[in-house]
Amino acid sequence: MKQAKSNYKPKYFEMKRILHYILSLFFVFCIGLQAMAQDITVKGVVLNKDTKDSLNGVNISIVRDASGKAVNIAGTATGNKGAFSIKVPVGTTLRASSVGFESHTFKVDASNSFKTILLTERKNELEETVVVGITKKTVADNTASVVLIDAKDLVATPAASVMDLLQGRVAGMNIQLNNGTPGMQGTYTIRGISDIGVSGKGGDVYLNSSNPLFVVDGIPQQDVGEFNPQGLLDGSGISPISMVPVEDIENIQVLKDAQATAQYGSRGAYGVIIITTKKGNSPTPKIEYTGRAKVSTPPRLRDVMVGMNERNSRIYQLLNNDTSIYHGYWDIHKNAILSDSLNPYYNNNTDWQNVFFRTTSNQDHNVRFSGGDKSFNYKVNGNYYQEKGIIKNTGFDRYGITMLMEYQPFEKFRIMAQAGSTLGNSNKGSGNALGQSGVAGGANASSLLPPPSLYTTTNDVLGALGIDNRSTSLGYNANIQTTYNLPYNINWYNTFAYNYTTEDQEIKTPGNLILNRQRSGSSLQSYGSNYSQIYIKSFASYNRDVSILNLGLTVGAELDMRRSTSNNITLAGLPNGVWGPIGQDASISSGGTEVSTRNNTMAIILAPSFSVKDLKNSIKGGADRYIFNPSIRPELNSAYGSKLKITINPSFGFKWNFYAEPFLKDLDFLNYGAIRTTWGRVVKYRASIYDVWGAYLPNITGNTYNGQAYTPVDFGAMPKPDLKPVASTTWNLGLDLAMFDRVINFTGDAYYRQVDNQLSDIDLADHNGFNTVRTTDVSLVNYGLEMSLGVTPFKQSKDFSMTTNFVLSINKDVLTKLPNDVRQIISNDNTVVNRLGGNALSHFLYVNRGVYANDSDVPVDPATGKRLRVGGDNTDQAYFKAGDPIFVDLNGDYIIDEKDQAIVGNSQPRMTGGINMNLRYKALTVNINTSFTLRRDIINQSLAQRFGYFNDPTASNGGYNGVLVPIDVYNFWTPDNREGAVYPNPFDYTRVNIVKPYRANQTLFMEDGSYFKINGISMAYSLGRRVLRFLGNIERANITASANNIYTFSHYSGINPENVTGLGYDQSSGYPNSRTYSIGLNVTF
Amino acid sequence: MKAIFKYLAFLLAVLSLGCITGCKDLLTVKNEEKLSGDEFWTQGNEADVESFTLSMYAFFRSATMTASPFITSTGDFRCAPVMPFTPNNNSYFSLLASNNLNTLISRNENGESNVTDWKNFYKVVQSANILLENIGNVPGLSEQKKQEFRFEAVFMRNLSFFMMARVFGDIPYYTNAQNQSSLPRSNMVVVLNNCLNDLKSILDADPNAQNIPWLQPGQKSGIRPNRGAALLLMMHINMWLVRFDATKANTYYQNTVDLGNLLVNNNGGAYYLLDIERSSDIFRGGSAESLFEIAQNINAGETFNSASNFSNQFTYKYKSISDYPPAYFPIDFLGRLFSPEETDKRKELWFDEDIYKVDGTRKELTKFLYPDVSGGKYTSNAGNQIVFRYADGILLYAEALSELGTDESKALELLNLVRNRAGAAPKASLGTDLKDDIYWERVRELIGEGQYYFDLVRTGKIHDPNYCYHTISRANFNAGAWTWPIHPNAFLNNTKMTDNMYWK
Repeated sequence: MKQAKSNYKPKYFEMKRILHYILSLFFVFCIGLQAMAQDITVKGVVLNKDTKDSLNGVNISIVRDASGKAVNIAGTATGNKGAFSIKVPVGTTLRASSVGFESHTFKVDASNSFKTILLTERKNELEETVVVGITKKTVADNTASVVLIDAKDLVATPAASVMDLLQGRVAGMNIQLNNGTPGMQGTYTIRGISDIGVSGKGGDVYLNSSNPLFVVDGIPQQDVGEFNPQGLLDGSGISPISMVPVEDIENIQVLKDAQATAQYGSRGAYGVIIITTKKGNSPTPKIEYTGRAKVSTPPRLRDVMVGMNERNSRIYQLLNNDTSIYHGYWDIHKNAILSDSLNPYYNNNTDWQNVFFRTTSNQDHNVRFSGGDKSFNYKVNGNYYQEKGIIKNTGFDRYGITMLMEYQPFEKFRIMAQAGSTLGNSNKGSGNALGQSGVAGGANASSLLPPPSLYTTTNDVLGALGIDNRSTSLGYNANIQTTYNLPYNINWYNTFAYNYTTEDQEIKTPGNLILNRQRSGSSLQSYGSNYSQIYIKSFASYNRDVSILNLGLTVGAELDMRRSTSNNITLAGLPNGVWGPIGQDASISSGGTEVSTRNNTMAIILAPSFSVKDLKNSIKGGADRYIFNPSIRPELNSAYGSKLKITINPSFGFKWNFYAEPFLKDLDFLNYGAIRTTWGRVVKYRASIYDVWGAYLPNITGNTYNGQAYTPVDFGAMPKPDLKPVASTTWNLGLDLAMFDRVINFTGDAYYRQVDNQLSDIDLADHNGFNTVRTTDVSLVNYGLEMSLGVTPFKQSKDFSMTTNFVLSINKDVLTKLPNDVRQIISNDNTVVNRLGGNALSHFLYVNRGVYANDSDVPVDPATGKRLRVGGDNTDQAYFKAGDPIFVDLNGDYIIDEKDQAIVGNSQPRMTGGINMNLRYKALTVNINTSFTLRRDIINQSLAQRFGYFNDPTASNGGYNGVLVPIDVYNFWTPDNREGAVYPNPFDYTRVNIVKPYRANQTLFMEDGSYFKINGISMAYSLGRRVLRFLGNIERANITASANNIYTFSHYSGINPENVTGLGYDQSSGYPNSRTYSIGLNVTF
Repeated sequence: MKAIFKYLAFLLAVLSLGCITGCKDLLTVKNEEKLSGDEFWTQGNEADVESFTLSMYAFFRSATMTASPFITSTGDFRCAPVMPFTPNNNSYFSLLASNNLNTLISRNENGESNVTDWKNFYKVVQSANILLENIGNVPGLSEQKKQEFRFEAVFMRNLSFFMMARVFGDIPYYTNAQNQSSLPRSNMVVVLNNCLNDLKSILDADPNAQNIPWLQPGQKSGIRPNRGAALLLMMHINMWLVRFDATKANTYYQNTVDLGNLLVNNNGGAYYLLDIERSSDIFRGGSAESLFEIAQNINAGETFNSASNFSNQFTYKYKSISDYPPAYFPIDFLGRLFSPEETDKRKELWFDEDIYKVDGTRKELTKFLYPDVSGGKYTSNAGNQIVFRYADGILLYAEALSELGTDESKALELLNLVRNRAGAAPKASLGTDLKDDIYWERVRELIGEGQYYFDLVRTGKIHDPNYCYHTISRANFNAGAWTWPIHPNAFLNNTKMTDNMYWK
């Protein structure tokens, strides 16, 4: 032990001395010595280490010249039987690399001219490259927090959007598939919410977008959220990411910390997701076909009462709870739906959910034609994806073709050209992108109404199926990217991309659904928009080794020009069944055009970098020991019009590859170990030009003064010239470990992110004329831990392998500042509250303490001698009595009103993660993916609603909201069940609209929304060589099978704790997630 | 092949670099539906400023004539001898007359619950402040033009403050653009003195009436404020302050006299009293007698709220002879204004032949009658609403002179100027009689022009049953009975707001 210690000391000093050198070198410019070189011919063979098969087509490239300087020169490739031969100077470092294998790097010395190179199949992720900002880095060199997902694990499972498949796979990315609408997206947040804004009202509240930036093949994509603060409610609502076929994706990178995202400028403030599509890589052309047949089934349906049960329940309720029994009889006789049970129109037991939900079968196909090598390769990918929704009258399908070509006409120049076109169609039925309100209403109809048949085809309830709501999204994109290696080791990159998208939505509502019957006739709504984007990026980067330092500088500029146009028209009062403009009622028709919106931004890129190299080229893995990467990205932003704003997004990253330290050389079990720390700030002008300057509204019909048109300022929102940009600052501390021959891989990150100057609206006093003003006074802090643990417990053998990946992230958010220095803001009709020091989106609820067993249990106001009552009503009905819920009177005024709501529970998940397992036995591969969400409070609004339907026993609006829940399973108050009842008396319908015992915003309906979900199990069986040969010249064939959304373990009493709004409300109108089974075939010719 | 790609690469590079460097103009956000303030002001032009200026008048019109019957409710009917006509028996009139405002507002029969909603007035104020802040940035606008627009903004904001102060007393006051802080109500005397200084400084900056002319060239008189309108507004403010800043009463009278002197004697013939036979020209608007009015262009679809239009309450024959007017002035009051024995052409020209008929029978006040049909709705007065009229200025000038007592002959001369025009016999009274004659002349001349109640308040005659039919006691007056209650909306988002306690 002592000896070891004494060995250690001098090395430590040596390190210190090196650091000393580094510091000196910052000031003194040194020129490295060039060694004289002598050429030698290196010959050898390349073999697979495990199978000892020879490997053809392995690239042998020169990575360091004789002087030790890093270069990248293509050398040669192995030919027949894996043999190669190359003539290089002595001292050159060569690298043998091949797809799917770990590369092997070796130094040529004079003594060893014949090499047998054994390549192991890839399991070392350190050599993989990640794109951080504009530069590619190996994982070992990367300082930022980046997660790389290989799409190979994903493709066996069918999904419209690749994001659906990433659930539970990326630490720190919370994906909630909270709506099952085909073609729509769930919510994704990276490292917690970053915007406390909500839109909508009551239970229909949606979180403002905190969507990450998507970059597909180097081109930043527009996201739906960018154009529409309401999220997906308007327009066609097809997510652009749904337009990228999963089969065509090579890998996905998720950039989480600010060092990584700062490089994308302001748009990367909420994280960046980089999607890289496949490229051709085969000397002979290859055709790869993937096809699948799928079956989607609806989830468990909600329990309802049907037929006689329902009628009896209603009659019972009327006789026992009406003002008098005689009035009860009168109510029954008055309503034919109750009394005329012999009438075939009312004598039914229709389960409406069955009418609307269905099992569908679908298919998708993908064909890729590709080929080529490094100097020239090409790919054509054709895709068809179909998904009929499990709710009738909804669905999504997509047709897409993309082409990609890469050409390297000479050593230093490379050009990549890409073009594609996709067409997406979606049918949203009677709802919008997030919910199915029409169907929800229909499915809640009374079971006494007749089922669909010839003579009831135009029944109001069935109208949800009569609505035709089609959206089409048609996109074209083309881009050219070039790379030019200029003299002096300068690399010059250019990107030019053009993107054009049109979106159309047409909604036809049949006349029987038009609410205002006086205006008979159907209506036709049409929204159209088109969007074009030109994106140009040009930058040059320069790298130079100066002794032990590697200095780099990247300079360039980026221009993003967008233009969008939209229009909408509503034709109402059309003759029924007729499409088109003939015969509409002009007085109720309307239309409008937003002629053109231009939004251009330019950014200047300036990113210096330094890294400290190892003096001796002798460390494991070949990485540098100390890496320091600072960068700044100034950006010129035109969002504020003539006030051009410069934002600066600075960041730095430091990494210590400690496993490469000489003093840890003896720790053989440690294959890799590094500590990363990064800091970065992303500054983003989120406000629009109208927020800053105000909007002036010309051309408004009827705005004339003395016959002359006038232009008022828009008094909706006050101009605010000094709106600060949203600044999010992130600290990240990460630890990467690989141990025991890479059996265990661990990545952990702790982060602290502060988002300052968030936009929020404050309501103004009316003497200011304007309704609201935007401020940048909200600050939010997110902090948390993320870890990802990969275990490969069995040594990779030919027959069996297994990898398990466990991902966990814990996020906590704290509000640190609110506008006007207030302590708390209650917003959106009291559904959420923002309180300083608390989490950003707490539930704001009435506290329920059970049910009053007897009238005498209700507290009495000593001042008036009267019982507790609800606010807003002075009648006798308002006083609480037996069977009513016990709401806690927080302010002690003996009136239950909105002042008695309390902050209870957090609507956002605290912990998310997943376990993902890959098994291979011989030709069979199995992937099991699970995910979980822990510690989230959700509101079972759907249950509250269905209890609430007892408010109308006469079924006066039997068409809607008439369904009754079989409440026998619930412990509710009746005169015979007074003590210990959990749910209030639902039958007391004469008072229900006053007391509102079944209001959703009470703790009675708050439940634990934690769940553990088996997302999917997919299997692939690859056919053996013999079978392939028998079938013809087939290179590879897999048979796949998968089951998706298999089971959710949860204490939640509703259907699905995931299928809730962003604020945790489970609405009956939510589009349920289907369960999907698929069988597929994957063939490569 | 290689060469081609080389060139291609260069071309692409040059193209992209060229685009990036040469595209500063591209860096814009544009939308043709709404203009940003940036485009509107810093890249704007005179037409933009003009159309924005008009929006101030439009909001002022909303505040007074469209959103609620502001002028008639606050000025004409409050504490006035006005009677609702059976069979409608609209309690609006009786509640206003008896100063029972809380009941009035809760009943809301004619949209009067919006009378106290001052938001539209503050939209005028904000618009004016925004105009003043940004006008300097508009390129290609001459200094004279800028000063003209500035004057309009200053006039409109102070007119709005004055209108509000007369109704609410203390009001929130600010002159900064984009005021967003929640303000308490400022003392009315301070507010109105600020208004006077504001108006004075813009008039003083133009001593030769260059930028703020007596008449807007090419404009009909009164549609846009002219110098006379500003002077009369200042006179009104001074006369109002007499009551509420009584220790300085003589200063305010003297100011009014000075301003009146400018208005009447220095206007270079811009304003004069039209022949009384041309009454319909006077009240349709745009005449030489008009100083400021609110536009109503029926052809462009601009129609005042039916209840806001004073004339609609007192005329009926334009619709059909079988109809009834909603209200009438009782014989007692009309007989006092226009004695049946004395000649006064206003009797015949401004009232119908039934002027002296027994109360409860149909009669019309035809002063403003100018009927038209707009969008299927009848209106008895399709003309503009007069806010300030030359005759008003003459009588105010006379009143200030008589109160000072320094030059009663001049006061008499001014009074008789108005009487002569009406063909009434000249007066020759002095002292208190002269003051009374001037007061009653104002009532007579300005009936239905939103002055009645405010004259009662500022002269103190509201306490005197000899002048006022529905008096307010001094105690109640001091408690704030002369004001209106503050609208509940004013308390939203403003903890500093206070109510007029009399109405609580």
